[in-house]
Amino acid sequence: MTVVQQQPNRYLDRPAPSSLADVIDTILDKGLVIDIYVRVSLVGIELLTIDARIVIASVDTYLRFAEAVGRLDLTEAGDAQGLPELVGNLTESGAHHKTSGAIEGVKDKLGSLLGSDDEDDEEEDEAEAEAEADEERKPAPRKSTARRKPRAQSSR
Amino acid sequence: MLLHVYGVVGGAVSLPTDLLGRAGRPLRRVADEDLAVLVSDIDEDAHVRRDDLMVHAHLLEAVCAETTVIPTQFGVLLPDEDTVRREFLGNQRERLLGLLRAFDGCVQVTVHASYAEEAALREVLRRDPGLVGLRDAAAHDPGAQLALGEAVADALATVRGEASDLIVEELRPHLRAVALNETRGAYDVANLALLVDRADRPALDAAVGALGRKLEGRMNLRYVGPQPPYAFLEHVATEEGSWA
Repeated sequence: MTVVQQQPNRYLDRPAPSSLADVIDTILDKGLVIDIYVRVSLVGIELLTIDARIVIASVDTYLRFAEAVGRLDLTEAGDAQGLPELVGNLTESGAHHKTSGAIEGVKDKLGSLLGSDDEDDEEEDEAEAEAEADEERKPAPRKSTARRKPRAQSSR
Repeated sequence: MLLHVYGVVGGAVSLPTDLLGRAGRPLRRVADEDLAVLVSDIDEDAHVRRDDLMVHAHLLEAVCAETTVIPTQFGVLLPDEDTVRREFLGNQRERLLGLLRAFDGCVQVTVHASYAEEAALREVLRRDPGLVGLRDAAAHDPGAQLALGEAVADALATVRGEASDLIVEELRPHLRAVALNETRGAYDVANLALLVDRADRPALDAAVGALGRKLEGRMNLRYVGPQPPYAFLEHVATEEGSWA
């Protein structure tokens, strides 16, 4: 396991358009569906990020963590500032204490409005099954592989 | 020829001009006084490529920079305008009007936060000096590796949860609501969908920017949007139409 080189947190002052990974989380997974429609075949779309999901509670992952911790040089001071202090410095203004009550109210209301949405889930499963069925019928076009862009480019 | 459906906006709103849909075909509306369904022509045998997904998403993002849009899931294709009118302007009318009312004046943005590996591991060891002992034991005893790794994984889960809470607290003053999306990677801290009043966007942008600079080197933040209110759609009761 290599230590990931973090990109600097630049360009955060405005949100950026969705990357492919964001798109898979949103438009394929969420959004309005209606009862009668022609579902497009999803042939050729490689859902890479879904496969990339890491199973955290696994022997492999444990061993990777152990190895990574073992590599740390603890004689280096590192950064002594811990997480709570880090963010705490920012919250001293106290403005959020006033508003947090109101937001909790919103959250409570969100919770109480949660209906049983089992129908939606079923619909999604059907759509996925459909997409898989389509995939079996037609081979995925090679072309889409060549179109793949490095992830770094998509996070502008 | 079919119609690809992107989403629904209010009937009277003005949109960015010259928006292009899938296959470079112009976006158009199927509308009545109250609702406008955003569609573009698509060939029946058109393949779906990554570009099609991106066009669908980015088109909606361009629209919601201007006005509230209720997105349809990618892949809703209808045979003609009459069907669009019947299904959306007719059958779904009350539901859509309710959703547009509920999200009037709001927009979603998303913040992804992930810990830098070394920063995360140092934080874990700092909190629990017992782990340093486990680490030293594991250096001489391969059998202890698994116990160490499991202890680190547990500690990381706690740290991730707390970090996520801290980020939410930090941004909370600017938000109407927050939804916690699932995270993927071992060091991913949070995938937060944030619902914000348009008027509060500048303040939220500034807060995210400040947080990003503050966490620099320890955490990587990614800030995405503006987006349709994907994460909040199912939380709105149809008949209620307003929840915030």
